[in-house]
Amino acid sequence: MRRFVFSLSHILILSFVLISGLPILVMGFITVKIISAEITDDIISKNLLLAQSLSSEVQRFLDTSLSDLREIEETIIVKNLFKVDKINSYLDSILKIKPYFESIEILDENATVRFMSPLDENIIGINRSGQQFFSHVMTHKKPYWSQIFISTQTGNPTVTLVIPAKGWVIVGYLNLSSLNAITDRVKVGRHGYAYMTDQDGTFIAHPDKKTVIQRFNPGILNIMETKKKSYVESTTYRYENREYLASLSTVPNTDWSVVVVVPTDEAFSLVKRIKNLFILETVIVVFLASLIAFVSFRTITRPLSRIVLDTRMVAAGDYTVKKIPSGYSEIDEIINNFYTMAGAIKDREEALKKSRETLQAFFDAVNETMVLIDQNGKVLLSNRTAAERLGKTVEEFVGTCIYDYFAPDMAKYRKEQYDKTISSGEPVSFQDASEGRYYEHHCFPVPDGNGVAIFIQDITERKLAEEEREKLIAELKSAIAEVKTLSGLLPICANCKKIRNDKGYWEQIEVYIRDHTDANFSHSICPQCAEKLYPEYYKGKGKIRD
Amino acid sequence: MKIKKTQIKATLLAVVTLLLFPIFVYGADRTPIKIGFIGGLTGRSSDLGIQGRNGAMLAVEEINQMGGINGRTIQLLIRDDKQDQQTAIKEVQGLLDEGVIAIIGHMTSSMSEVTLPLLNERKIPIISPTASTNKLTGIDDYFLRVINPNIQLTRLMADNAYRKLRLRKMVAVYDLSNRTYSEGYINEFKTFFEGQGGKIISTYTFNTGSNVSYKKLVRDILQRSPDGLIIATGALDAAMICQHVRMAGSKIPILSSGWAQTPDFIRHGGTAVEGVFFTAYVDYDSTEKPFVEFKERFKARFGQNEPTFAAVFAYESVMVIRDALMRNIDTKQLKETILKQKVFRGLQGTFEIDTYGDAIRKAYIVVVNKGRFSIKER
Repeated sequence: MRRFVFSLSHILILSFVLISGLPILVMGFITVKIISAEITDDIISKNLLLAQSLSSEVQRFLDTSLSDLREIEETIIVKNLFKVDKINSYLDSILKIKPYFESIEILDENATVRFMSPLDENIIGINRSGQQFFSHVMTHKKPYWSQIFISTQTGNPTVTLVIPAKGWVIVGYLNLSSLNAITDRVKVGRHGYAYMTDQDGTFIAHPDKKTVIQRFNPGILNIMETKKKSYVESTTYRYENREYLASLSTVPNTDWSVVVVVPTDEAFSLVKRIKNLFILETVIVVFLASLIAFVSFRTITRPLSRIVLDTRMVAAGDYTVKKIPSGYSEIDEIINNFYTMAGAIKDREEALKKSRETLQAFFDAVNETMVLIDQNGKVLLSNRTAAERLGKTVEEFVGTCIYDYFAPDMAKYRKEQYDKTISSGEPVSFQDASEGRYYEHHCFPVPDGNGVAIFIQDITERKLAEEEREKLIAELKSAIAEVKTLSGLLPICANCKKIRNDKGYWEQIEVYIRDHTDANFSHSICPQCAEKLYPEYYKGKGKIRD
Repeated sequence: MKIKKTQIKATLLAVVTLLLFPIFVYGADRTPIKIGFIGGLTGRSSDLGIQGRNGAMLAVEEINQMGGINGRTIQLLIRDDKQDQQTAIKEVQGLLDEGVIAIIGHMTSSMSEVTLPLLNERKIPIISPTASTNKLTGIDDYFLRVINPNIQLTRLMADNAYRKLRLRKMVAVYDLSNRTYSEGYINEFKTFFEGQGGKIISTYTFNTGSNVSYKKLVRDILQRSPDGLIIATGALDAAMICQHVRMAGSKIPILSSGWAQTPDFIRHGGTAVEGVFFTAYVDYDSTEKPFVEFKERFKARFGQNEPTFAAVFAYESVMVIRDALMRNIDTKQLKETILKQKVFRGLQGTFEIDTYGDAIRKAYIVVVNKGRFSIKER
């Protein structure tokens, strides 16, 4: 796997950016956090105070309404100050001075509407036992605030305040516009506002009146209830794609909630501005740092780039590089050292070349094969004789695989020998033959253990001479063996000169000799015998012609 | 050591890749799916609309809490038709311009009839939780509903009136503000009731909120000496009529269309509404686990009021859309997907939506008993 190497430029730019930008980022982050916390606390405490103030005002309003009903109870039920036919008129007068009551009803113990203002013949006499408030006040004997509902008279959202009154029940229908009047006064910043919900979270006062008359319950109380666990009375929640910072105060008795909210983005606009400023600062600083780093980098790296190019030239064997001072002492020192090193390399390379040529001449002077191969059989060095024996020049031969030149069996055998030389680290000698000629191999392991120096001698002449000699010796031995057959004691007839053979038969001497040697006989008569045998022909005639 | 072009390219590529990474990761469409809700949220009959809206809101909130549909949340756009034709058309037009893929609503038949041509033209399905007029039955259009057409209920109610209650002469009263529904309901009831031998001897109408004198209305009704009274009005008006009937000392059986079957009827009706008959598709005493859990969640979310059939059906309407989109996310084929699926799991068992988009559910006779709507006959 390739190791990742950072370039000098990356390190340099990154260092500049980190040194300049990081402190600003860290400081900015801490500052923004501190300011955010301060602003949050400030807004929360102010809004909470406002919510509590509104809650108190609502409580006073409810207390006032309650007092009004108590007064009615006192006047009509307790003191019995009005005759039955005057009660409705009395209620009318109350309604005139207490405009927040939409209507007032007095129910008997059966929940039948007996008196009311304003008088509505549709209502008088009807039964209100289905209303939860009736059973509640009759059971608990204490005031009851209902849920929001639609008034039978107006069709508008209304809340009822109900009190038990000595067997009677007094019901006040409170117009919710009175609550709206309280919350409508509140303006927090540009978009902050206050609203109220009933105990279920349904809006009972809200700047958007539509939400009230539609009895909308956005579920905010549920959200706040969940969050309250960690942050009492204040929290943030998201509603219709906008986040709000909310402070909540509960109205006693009714469990209504007065909530003061500020859109978080507005509440933290200062923080946002500071944050943006820090971001802008950071960007500028990082940009400037990058620019400075880039310029510095260019100044420093230009001579280094030149050295990089020169190293490539030197590596390629081109030593025509020229020294150009950089202007920086440290880099100049590097440049001087580099060019000194380049000169030394050049001298060494020339010496090496000369040495190699000498060595090659020495090799070529040998009239036998000399080859240096690596462990894979690649020819590293060769003398001329070796190359010529394979029909190549030295240049063609070097670099090829030596085994490619032999038949498979021979290549395999030679490879085994060469491998043995490498593995054993000891010289190995062997002979083999190819195309009718005999070779003697002397293999020597090279010191690093990764190659073999091979000396191959053509021993065909010697081999043939040896074979001839062996043959002559064999023939001689055979001849000696034959001579020995006629040697020894041969029994011969003293008269007829017949020789007794091994089987005991008497053979004529010429037959015996013919059978036991390569000699043959041509019969003739010598002069002495001829004269003796044929005196008539030879006596006196001189010599017999041979 | 100068910077190579390849290095610059590599750096730029890395930066661009990092910038585009979120697009690759979140390349799929993550924009919210917009669904509209429209119903009467203000006025005397708003109980139905508000319950419906709350049911739809709960469904949407639950779907979103569970990760939405294929990773896309649902955005519910709520509109008030104010039970007014012009407002309904304007608000539906607004929802269509907002790009809703479907609308839950209207809660009354009159409004459904008014805006349907617009929805047919734009090919956007509207799923009504409660509009049950027969006028929209058996038509291949973009009006779908999870409630049965009235005909099943009116037949059941007429049968109950004639056979069980042995009523022979009845007076009918209905609210013209939702004429498509109420008039249709009364006419169908009349057809079935008179078909069995009964007689609707008088019919009274009024417009809700227009200074109706219930006292006078009831006096007129009772002067006809009917055996029973059939009402097709909203909860408040029905409760007030019941109050005045009982106040006048009459004990005649009172039957009501499902329109009035909301908590407001009990709240405003008091003891006067005890024994009033309804026909309904929802058993409020059901112990079906999904329904019981739904009731608990609904109360936890919206407070003390129990969900009515309007909330139940609105909730189921949203779930019908969810089920269909889970099957086929192509919103343009929503109507076809719903009709193809046909059977849906409701809060009280399964129900069907037929090829014309009308629901098929089991109906019950319900009676008000001790301040509750109780099943009288299953």
